[in-house]
Amino acid sequence: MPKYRLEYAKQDIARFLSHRELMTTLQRALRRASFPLTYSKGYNQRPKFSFGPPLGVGAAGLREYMDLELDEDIQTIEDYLERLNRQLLSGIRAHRLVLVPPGDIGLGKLINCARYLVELSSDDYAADWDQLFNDIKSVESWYYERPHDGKVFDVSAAIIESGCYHEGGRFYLEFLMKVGRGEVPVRGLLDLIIKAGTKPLLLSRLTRTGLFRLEGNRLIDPLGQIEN
Amino acid sequence: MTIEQVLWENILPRVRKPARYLGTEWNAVCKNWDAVPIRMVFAFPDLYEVGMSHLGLQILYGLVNSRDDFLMERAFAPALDMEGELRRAGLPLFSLESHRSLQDFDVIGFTLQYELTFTNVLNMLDLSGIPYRAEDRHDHHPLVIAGGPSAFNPEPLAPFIDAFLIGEGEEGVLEILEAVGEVKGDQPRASRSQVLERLIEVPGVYIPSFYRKEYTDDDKIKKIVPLHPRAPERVRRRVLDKLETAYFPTSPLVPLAEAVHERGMLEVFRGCTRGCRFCQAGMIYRPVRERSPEVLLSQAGEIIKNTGFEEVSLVSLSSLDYSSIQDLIPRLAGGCEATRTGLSLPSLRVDSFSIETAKNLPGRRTSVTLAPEAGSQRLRDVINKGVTENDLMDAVEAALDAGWFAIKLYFMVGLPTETREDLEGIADLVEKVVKVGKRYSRGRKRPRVTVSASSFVPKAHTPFQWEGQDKRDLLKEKHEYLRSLIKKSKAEYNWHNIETSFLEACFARGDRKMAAVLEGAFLRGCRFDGWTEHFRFPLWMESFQAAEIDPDDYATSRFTYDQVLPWDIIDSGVSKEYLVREHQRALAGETTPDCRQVCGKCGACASLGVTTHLFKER
Ligand code: SF4
Repeated sequence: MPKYRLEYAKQDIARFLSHRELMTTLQRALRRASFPLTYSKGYNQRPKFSFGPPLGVGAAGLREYMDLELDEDIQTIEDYLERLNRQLLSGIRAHRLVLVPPGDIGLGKLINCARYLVELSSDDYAADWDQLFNDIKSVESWYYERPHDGKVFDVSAAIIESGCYHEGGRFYLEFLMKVGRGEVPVRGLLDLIIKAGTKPLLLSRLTRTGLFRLEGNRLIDPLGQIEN
Repeated sequence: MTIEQVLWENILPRVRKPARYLGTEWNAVCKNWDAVPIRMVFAFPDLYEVGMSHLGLQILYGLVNSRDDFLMERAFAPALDMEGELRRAGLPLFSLESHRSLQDFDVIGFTLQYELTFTNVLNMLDLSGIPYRAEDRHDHHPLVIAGGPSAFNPEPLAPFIDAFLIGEGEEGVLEILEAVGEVKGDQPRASRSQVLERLIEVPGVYIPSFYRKEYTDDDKIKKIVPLHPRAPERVRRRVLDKLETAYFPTSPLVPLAEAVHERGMLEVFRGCTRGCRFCQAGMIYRPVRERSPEVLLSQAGEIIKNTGFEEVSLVSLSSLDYSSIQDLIPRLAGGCEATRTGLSLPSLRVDSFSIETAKNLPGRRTSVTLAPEAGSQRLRDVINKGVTENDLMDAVEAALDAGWFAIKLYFMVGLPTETREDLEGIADLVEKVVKVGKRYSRGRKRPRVTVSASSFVPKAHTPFQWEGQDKRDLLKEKHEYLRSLIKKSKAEYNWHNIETSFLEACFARGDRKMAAVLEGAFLRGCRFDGWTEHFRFPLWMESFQAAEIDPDDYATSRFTYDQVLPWDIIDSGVSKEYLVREHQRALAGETTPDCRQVCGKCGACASLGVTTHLFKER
């Protein structure tokens, strides 16, 4: 069966959906849009989907991915995308739909890093922005203990790259983080920023702006495009 | 900042399951506020997950919003963390669609599905900044109305609600909104007192402030006296004549946060006339009125297309009693299969036909639930549950034959006339079921048998309304005895919290004096009393004491036939003579057939001007 990869965004008010709620929402929208979904066999038939790494309740994602198997090739991809968008709730948008080439290793294995953006305002941090950024960068190791099971993660080791910029009185911190091997909970990242001197930050300040495969020093998105 | 801004920025990021509060569900209707003159909010006094599974909400929401001059939005009881955030931020409880305070609406309509949601009713008003006692509200506060099965004994809530709508709400709600519209005209708000004057004319509306109760020396109700010259002696429940042509929502709301039931609902008929004597629903929705297979098939198709739900469910009281079931099910199953939609029957009858029907349905298979309710033939006859031991064993074997591997059995403890033998009968039945199950073991794995036992709660308008509930100690003893018996047969035994059932009985049979207890419990912090993790019985007992009320007067005492009952003001259509007759037949162990076959002369058809309506004569 042909497999398609969908790139979508979950933002604005839809950022408050949990991963599970989002999956159900997308499933029902695809059903309403009459996609020829392939279902598993047996009593409990489910469409054959696989999703990229989940995003926490409150965090937005601008370029998120899911794979779906279809019973047949669809010729008019743009038509289907439009049909799907008509069935999606506010805050969820389907951007691209692409036939997955044979030999693809699947989203789970493919994606090995994610880019996050943390938005700060002067309410969160009163002093010098560049100082904050330097403080964050100079932390050599920062351990985060996950509350529910006490597992400890080294957050700094999971940061591949970081940067910052100002825009319209707001300050943005940008991080490229490991996904899969060496991955840490994003809460740990927020903790690190708080430690550097900001007020407590909620997950709703976080936007995942992209998911990639890092190969050498090239970033490739799950649809095969190379990022600058 | 607007409510929305505070919500998005400060509150939703902090609460659990924020999807409960977004209001952007598929098929949600968000009208232009200023363009609609009459606005109502449907207030569900329980969590989003429960409310969104409720058919009544979906029906009224769709119906009212289908009118250009009305709008209906939704509000659910906020979870405790959300309540905390709202109170801290000084924000009112809001509607989901436009995130406005409940104060901004012309009408707030509560649905009363369960007595243990009553503290949430008070809390929702309080959180909206509206005095919960009607006498403390001023003339331009929103009109507060309530309906649903627990409104059939409205008295415990009487001081808080302006008007109750008794019975099926479809027509009555529109008439109430029309009346509000007439009074409101082009003013910003209708005068509540003038609206109530108008509502006297609307059938099915009970306005508690227009009545007074006189008590005897020993504190029993002597008389219910109308205070208003036009207030009716009794308020007769509303009923829809034909379901076939009635409004039904084929674009229902699709829950965002996972609801208790996530499925499209089909109402194959309304009413159930099997006549189980403990069952309130079986008395207050009489007579049976069916929809035709054609209408149901087309509604199912529309629902699947408009929602994307993975499952459609037949949600009537005993859907397999539908007269054209043999015709309907294969056609419905065909349509579901084609769209990869499951089809489910949540209430199975205890017989092999049910199982044979259920086994061919497309979709998920979890467990089979069967409800014999009592353990001996004698007691099953007393409660008029037309089920024999053979029926049960046939059903169990058929289910196991068909590949089910988990069986749930429902029983009730504390039924009138119950003896030790009846409890032992339950254990015997369970043992037999477990034994049959053994034959179907897969390797060393045996089918799972779970027994759930609730405690009998006498309900208003049933033949058992005069009966008292067993005392709590006795109920506890009975449950423990039963558990010890069942343990031997290696079935799982769950029982409902006894204190919860006790409180349910207090409200189910209580009068206006219960309002003080309710208010006390609310002020002491009680919320979500139906949820074991939130239920705080000691606070309730304190409230009873403070109000100087002995809860046993309501829950466990028997009423006599000639006593005036707190709910006598409500005329369910079923006559008291019939209920007395049924009660006496119960005590004599005599059964009464389903009135689909022979009219049992309950009075409903004649007094309400409707008739049983089947699509295939049997
Ligand atoms: S009047 Fe007769 S047919 Fe009508 S609901 Fe009552 S018992 Fe059934």
